[in-house]
Amino acid sequence: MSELRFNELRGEEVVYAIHRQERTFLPDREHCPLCPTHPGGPTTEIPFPAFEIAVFENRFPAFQAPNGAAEVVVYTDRHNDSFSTLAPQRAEDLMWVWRHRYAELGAREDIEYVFIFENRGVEVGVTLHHPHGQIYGFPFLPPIPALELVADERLGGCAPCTLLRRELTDGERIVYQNDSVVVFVPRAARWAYEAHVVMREHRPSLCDCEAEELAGLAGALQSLARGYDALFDRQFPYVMAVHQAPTSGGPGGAAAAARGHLHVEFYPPLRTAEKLKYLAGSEQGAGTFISDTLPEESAAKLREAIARAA
Amino acid sequence: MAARSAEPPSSGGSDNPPSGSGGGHAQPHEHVGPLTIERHVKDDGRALILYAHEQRDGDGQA
Repeated sequence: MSELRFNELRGEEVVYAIHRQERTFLPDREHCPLCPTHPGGPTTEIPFPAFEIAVFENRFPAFQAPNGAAEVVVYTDRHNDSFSTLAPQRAEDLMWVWRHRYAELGAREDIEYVFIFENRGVEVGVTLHHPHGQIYGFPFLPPIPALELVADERLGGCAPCTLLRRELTDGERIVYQNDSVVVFVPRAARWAYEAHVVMREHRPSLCDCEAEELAGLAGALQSLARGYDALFDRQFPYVMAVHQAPTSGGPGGAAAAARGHLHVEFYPPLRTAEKLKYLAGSEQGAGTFISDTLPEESAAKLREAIARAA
Repeated sequence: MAARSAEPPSSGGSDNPPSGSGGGHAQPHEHVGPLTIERHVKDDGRALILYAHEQRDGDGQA
């Protein structure tokens, strides 16, 4: 069981999940725990010879009932696929799985925020290569979603709606758009190729989306992921973070739960094909990102890469 | 708490407890959007949910 300790200087919770030290670390393909279980082979996490999308409770959870949840979402039974190479229908199906998990976990009394994410690449700490994401059911409202609610207050309404309007007016940092979704490098991006995938209409969560909007979201996410891979002609590491409304609100209660605007943020650590952006003195000690890349220039390169990968 | 609306299953019910063991099937009539949902319980007690597209019209995925 994990332990929460409140860091007074930072005003934030720290989670101690010491059992995770023993979790499986970069196994070879023959011992991948996320592959299907083949006759005569070792039993994996999914004891079936084939599957489409599988979700299971993490064997090494950061959170677990009655104080949250930690789940693994396996996108496919094909070990060498990635989110970007999934068939479009599978990517769309994944949106429905995310929606189902958000609704079910969000209905639990012990979960205040459902956080869906994917870590891709060893550069961001991946320990299993099989294409998968994770879901944390936080028993508290984490700092970044809480800051988004503060941004709502500062901007006098939904912050992602306001920022999307600004990006559409400016246009310079938009890298992709369809009927449902706009993708842009934000004006004050922290990471060189950070991108935000934002629903055009105000949708607090996946549960508020029409089916065609989920299809549009899947298409935009895959277009961006393929563009990333094309950018430097290599598998592009990233953290993909799905931001939605709190499920119990935390500070602000039910009022906060009615807020939020579904969007997906990508934080890629690469600043060139070979160079990583490290969080060093200013970022860690002062909390201020120093970037050596202008978002407008990154957007131009990413826009071209997405078009090239289409 | 839990202000978000739960996804209403089109049939069956997500309120039913998971059953089955390892590869055993359970709640075969639960759906979300175009997907069918099968709930299982692994041998160590952890939940496993399998999602499958209802129309198997050759999308190229296993």
